Amino acid sequence: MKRKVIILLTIISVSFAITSCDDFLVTTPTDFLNPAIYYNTPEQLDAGLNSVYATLSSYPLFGDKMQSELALQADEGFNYNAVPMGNVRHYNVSSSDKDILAFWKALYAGIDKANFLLENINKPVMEDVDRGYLKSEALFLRAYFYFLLVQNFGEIPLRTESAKSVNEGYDPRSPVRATYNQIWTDLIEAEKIAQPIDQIGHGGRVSKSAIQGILARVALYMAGHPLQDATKWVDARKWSNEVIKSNLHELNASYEQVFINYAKDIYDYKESILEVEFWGNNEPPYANAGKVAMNVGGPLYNKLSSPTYGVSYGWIYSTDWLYKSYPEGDIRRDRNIANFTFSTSTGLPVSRGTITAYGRAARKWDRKDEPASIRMLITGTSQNFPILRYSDVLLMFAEANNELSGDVSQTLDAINQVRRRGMGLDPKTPDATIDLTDALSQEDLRAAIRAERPRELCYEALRKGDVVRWGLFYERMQFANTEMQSTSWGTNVRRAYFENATPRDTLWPIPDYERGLNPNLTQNSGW
Amino acid sequence: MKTLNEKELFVKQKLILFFLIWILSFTNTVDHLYAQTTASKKTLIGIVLDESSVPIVGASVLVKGTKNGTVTDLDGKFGIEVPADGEIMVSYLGYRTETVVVRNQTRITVVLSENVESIDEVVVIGYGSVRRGDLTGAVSSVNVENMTKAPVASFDQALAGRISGVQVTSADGQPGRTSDIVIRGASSLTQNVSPIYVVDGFVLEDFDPSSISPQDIESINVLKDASSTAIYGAKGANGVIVVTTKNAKIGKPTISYNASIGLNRATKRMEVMNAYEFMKFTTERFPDVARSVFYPEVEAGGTMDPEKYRNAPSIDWQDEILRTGFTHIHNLSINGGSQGTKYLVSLSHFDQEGSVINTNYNKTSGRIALDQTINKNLTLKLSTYYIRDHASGIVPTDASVNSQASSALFFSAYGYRPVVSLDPQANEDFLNSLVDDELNGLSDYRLNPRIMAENEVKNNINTMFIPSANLTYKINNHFTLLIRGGLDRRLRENNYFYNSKTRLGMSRPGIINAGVQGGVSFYQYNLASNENILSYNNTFAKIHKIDTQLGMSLQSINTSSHALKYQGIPYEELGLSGMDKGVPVPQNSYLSSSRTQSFFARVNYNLLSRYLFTVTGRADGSSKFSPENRWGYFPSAAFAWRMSGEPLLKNLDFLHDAKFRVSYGITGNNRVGDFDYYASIDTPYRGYYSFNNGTPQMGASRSSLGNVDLKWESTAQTNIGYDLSLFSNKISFTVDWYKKVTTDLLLKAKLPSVLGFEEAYKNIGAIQNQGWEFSLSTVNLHTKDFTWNTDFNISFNRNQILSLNGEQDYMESFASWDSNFNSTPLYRAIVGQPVSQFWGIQWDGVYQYSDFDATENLDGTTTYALKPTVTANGNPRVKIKPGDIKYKDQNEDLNITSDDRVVIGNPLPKHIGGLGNDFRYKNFSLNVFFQWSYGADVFNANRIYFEGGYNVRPLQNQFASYVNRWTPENQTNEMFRSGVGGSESGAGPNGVYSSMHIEDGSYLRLKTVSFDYNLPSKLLEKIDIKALSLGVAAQNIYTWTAYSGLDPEVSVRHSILTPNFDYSAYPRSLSVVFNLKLTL
Repeated sequence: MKRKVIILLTIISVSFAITSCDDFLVTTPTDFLNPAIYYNTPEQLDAGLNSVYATLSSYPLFGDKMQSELALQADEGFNYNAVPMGNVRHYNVSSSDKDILAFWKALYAGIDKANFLLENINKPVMEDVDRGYLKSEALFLRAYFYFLLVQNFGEIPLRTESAKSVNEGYDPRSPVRATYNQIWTDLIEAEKIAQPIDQIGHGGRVSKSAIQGILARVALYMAGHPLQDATKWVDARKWSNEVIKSNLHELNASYEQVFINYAKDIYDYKESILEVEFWGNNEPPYANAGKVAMNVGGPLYNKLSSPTYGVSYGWIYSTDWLYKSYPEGDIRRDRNIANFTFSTSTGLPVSRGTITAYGRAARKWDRKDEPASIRMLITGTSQNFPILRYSDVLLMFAEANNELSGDVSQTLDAINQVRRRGMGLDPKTPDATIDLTDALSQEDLRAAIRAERPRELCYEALRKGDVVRWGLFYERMQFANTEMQSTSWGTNVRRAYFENATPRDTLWPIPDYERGLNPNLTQNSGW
Repeated sequence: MKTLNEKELFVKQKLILFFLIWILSFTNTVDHLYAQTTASKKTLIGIVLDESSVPIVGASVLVKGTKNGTVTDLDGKFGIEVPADGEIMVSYLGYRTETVVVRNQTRITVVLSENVESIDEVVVIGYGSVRRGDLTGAVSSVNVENMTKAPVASFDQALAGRISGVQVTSADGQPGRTSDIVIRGASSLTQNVSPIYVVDGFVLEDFDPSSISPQDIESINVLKDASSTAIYGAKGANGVIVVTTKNAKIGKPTISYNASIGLNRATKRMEVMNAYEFMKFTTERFPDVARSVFYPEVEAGGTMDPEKYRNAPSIDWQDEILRTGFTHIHNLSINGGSQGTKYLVSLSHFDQEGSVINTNYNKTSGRIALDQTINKNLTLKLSTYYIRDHASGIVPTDASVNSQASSALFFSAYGYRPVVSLDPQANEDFLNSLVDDELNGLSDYRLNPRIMAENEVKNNINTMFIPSANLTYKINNHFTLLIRGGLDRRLRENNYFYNSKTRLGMSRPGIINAGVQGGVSFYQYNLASNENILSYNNTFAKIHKIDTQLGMSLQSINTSSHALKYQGIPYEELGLSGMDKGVPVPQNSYLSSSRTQSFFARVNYNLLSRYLFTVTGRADGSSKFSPENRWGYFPSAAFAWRMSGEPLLKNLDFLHDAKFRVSYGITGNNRVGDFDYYASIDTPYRGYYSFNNGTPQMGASRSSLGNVDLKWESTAQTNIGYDLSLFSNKISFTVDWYKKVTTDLLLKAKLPSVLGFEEAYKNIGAIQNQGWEFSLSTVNLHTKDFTWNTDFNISFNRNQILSLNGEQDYMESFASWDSNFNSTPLYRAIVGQPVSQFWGIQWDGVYQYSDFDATENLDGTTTYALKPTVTANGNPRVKIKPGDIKYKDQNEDLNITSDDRVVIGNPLPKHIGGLGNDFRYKNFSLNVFFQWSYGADVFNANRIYFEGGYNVRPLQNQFASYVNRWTPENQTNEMFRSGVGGSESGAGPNGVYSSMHIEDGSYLRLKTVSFDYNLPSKLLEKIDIKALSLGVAAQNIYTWTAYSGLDPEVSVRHSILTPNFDYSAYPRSLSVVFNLKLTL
């Protein structure tokens, strides 16, 4: 008995003990994929690229914050939402602002995704042309992300390689010029291999036209504050002219229709060259709806019972000067600034009549224009948001050409197309009553172009960039502040937006969070 | 020469002993050492044996009534001169002292029987047990009998203050909330620092203390120093709690039944403003809202008179959600057996209604233990536990709507308005309506707290099944082989159902539109382990005792999680069973596994029972690290000198035991995710993108960067301890000093965002914990009818970060509770300082008129401009008014910015401890237990919203303390003025943490009192009952503290980096139960 037991126990224990250590300790992850074995097929590259695009539609960017909280409307409107107020949305910026940090994080995450994709782009076997398209989109997106960063933070860490190890990331800030140079190089390379927009057939994907247009925009920014690189006016003119010359684009005959198209999910790539794509209403499983129509969709509408339209937050309000800047008959005024409000009891629109501009909510992506089938949906909207419209290209061309003292007739042709459409006229047919003429000096034209941009492009997250590059940011904020003080609408919430703005606000602070992790980062002046 | 040397040695020894004794302040008895005796009549020769006839070496032999004595030699023999009528007393540590009348005998054999006092109590340590007297490490035992008198569901809730060096805290009073146990300070920053548990020999990582019914526990020992824990190698760094459950006993079946029935209620509630005070505040702060809601008749700009509401009835919302709950506890066990087979079966049930309506906890557990002797060398022990516990109801700490503070239960309970109008019917209607129509639903998520709590269905159900088998084979007198196998299988089910009257199920256009939601998730945990241990023990030349273990173990853990979630559920009356009619929401599911393989050895060497040595070594391999870093090696060594065994000290009759211990060793920690060293690709729906109105297409991106260099974290610990027991163990005292240095911290490090990743595990940094522990047990009185025992312990731990990431000298952490504070760090872990400290602006009271230059205006008003020499509070100077909050300007730039932040509080206690007194008089017993924590600060975030803060919502009630706010008539320095909201309030800039809300969280708690009466056995014998006792026990009876919140023991966002944060905490309960204990 005893011997039997000994033998049995020895066998049991030895058999456990001799289990090979290494075999026993080898486990394989079953819940995720390994990057080393990914990006081997064109489909996987596509999936990688989709995630880079998704940066644009994320909440910290165009998915929500760029239209509402980040106060990019500068002097053309203000955020009326009173709670909370210690926030960038009221220019009450601190270096620990959560929206600024989220903006920073989202863009750098997008940049790393683009870097990683670019490093793996040659892995799959595929047609070189198709690979080129993919590459041009990735390069464009990386450049565009850096463009947003450099505009808003000035000097920033510049990373053109993906993260390889957890011990990286302590890069110092690169000069503004270096970042712009990288953006420029990427865009120039991307432009060469990009797919023409007529082949793509819609404005949701990065096309040759989109890259050319953004090259023009980048050149304008480089020509303005802070680089003041006058040589870039030539590039701005050249690239905006490339878009015009391509004959692929023209203004939609109706200004209103441009935005009705977004509401109805219709593409018009001739006008709307690059859009951030939103889809559905966030009903599971997808989470790709946006908030543009809630943020800039007219007055507050949140009727709880039997709603007729989708929710609109109505928290961006127009300023008086913008409202009054539209000449009589300019249809853009009432498209961009709601002349109505919603009755809290019936939920029906009520005319605002003659009430002062400060009671009017910004409106462009009106939810009433959504098809009945989707407009009831209240957690998100599928309305797309434009990054580049053709009217912007025309105005950029006009601006650059005017600065270069180019052919005045070309300048006038570009700006007048935009003006005519604003008045509800055919953009291509000259109209003596509203057309600007060559009687204007270069200075006058500059003022006219600068005045035209907010009328045409307000609430498209472009205004702050414009007034900063013109070196007019603080002046304009002071102007709006003075104007607001003189009206009975100057309650503390509304006033605070303009009162709080200081010259330092041309740039945002480098987030405290990031500086806490990376001691090599210096802070912008004033914070 | 030789004799001289011996003499020298002797003198030297004496001096050392003298010194050691002296420092322990027993100088008055030192003369015992030099005692001489002359009285001698005849010589007695004898031998001292133990019960198994083994000679006892070093037993002390003393002639009674004299100081004349000797000790037994290596053969257990002694010779002594005794008067003819004399008596000798023979004593030896751990044995009963025998007194022998000598009479005519010249040769004598004395047999000593073991006594069952503390030093001989067998202490269960890792992979074995040892007599307390032979212990070399720092091991504390819990007085289980006293501890289990507390009417609690699981032992961790009664453990606080019971043992030195062990800090037990729980987040709040939610029924079923598990405690957080930290032994000798946190040795990690981001990882779990809870100890591992060894239950009846099985190593259980991530053990849930509620797996064991307190009534089943026989003993709890806490292994603290490296010598005791290094045998657990990679898992030992956080200490080890060794739980032994009750054993089956030979005899006729014994049936015991204990029942406790009682009530519990919240120990405290917050005082809020009444209707009148609320109206005064609201008209001041939100004049527009006040006018439209309460004064429709008053024109804009007109005066609103709060006096109108002076006697208005107030609704007390805390009354609406708090209740007196019912508790009942039942335990039944049967125990018995023969020499060959012993069994024990126990069943327990615990049921508690929480003090908040609709929150409950119940637990049912069963255990079967069977001991079978197969033959004289082979025994088999089988044991199985089955436990099911169920916590249900709303979780107040959960701010579940967009992480907005206003969605937490107590935000509504404190903040819902106390008055609707002067019409009592309106109040009545208001009590029954879900939303207050006057609130702005886009930014204010308050709901009627009663309806909110009543409707939220939330269940957390744990089922645990833990079977194990132990096979012991005694190969011969020296070798024993133990083979152990066991499983720990757990299934956790979380389900919830949010109907249209709940915060997440209701419709909030633009905020939540998921409709009625329901979901269920299952988490499975399967641990399988095998251990094989070969023990050898032998005594050589009678003085060299060797006890060794050699073993190996294998452990594998498989986990999985699966979940279903639906929204837009159409028929809410069907509850969870109707959820499949809704829209499915994608949920994560995963399967994962980890394995460990270990080899270990221990040698205990005992020389003369005076010099004790322990050496251990362990090698651990873990699948959580890449092959190059897989194995870790963990050695330790300890030495103990039982000086009371020295011949010179033998005859100190007051000295019962004295032992000096020193140990050093290295332990490890591998608590990271199963596959954290891998980089990964993920395809979340957020990364999808739609082109051309098409269905969104999959987006893939790296979700983690991985770190192939990950390896073990290791902790080196030095321990020096002294155990002293005096007057037959009537006083026993233990002191330990330790120093733990943890290096290669497994740190979930935040990565610079420019990498595109939030965080990753790195082996970075070092932490040191250093401290003292004292415990004292005394028998103050011991007579036939009356005994009084006291247990006291106190622990001091200081920790310090030695280094962090090379370039980083601090780490910031956030308490997630409100979006306004999302990006304001509340904690900083700074190199050279404790693991976490509160970080913020130093509060400096309130701006008074004297801080301003006053200018009389033409219209009779006065304008106040801040004096140029007075610092601004972060708001523009022109905005600052008398009564605004004032902060301390650290860098003297006359403004407050983030650069003015400093350490504003320390959440770690300076000392913690417990004091228990046990009184017995005849058949009555009374046990009174106090527990305290001294010196820890608490951040009371409730006050940010309930004492006039920046983001106070319209129609939000405030704490009564805010009645004392600054007004021109009440120029207090305590509470800033109310202002008219937002940046016009007196609260200064938004999103700022300041020391205004830091409070001293020191407390002394009368934790447990129990009173029992045992019915006389004579009486019971007649009715065939072995024992019957009746009693009453109470828990959380009273707490002495200066803390203004509900309870100073609070940490609702608990982690090492974010402790002691109080927001919407569940109140702690005072529970009182009546007991009946019956043994048949």
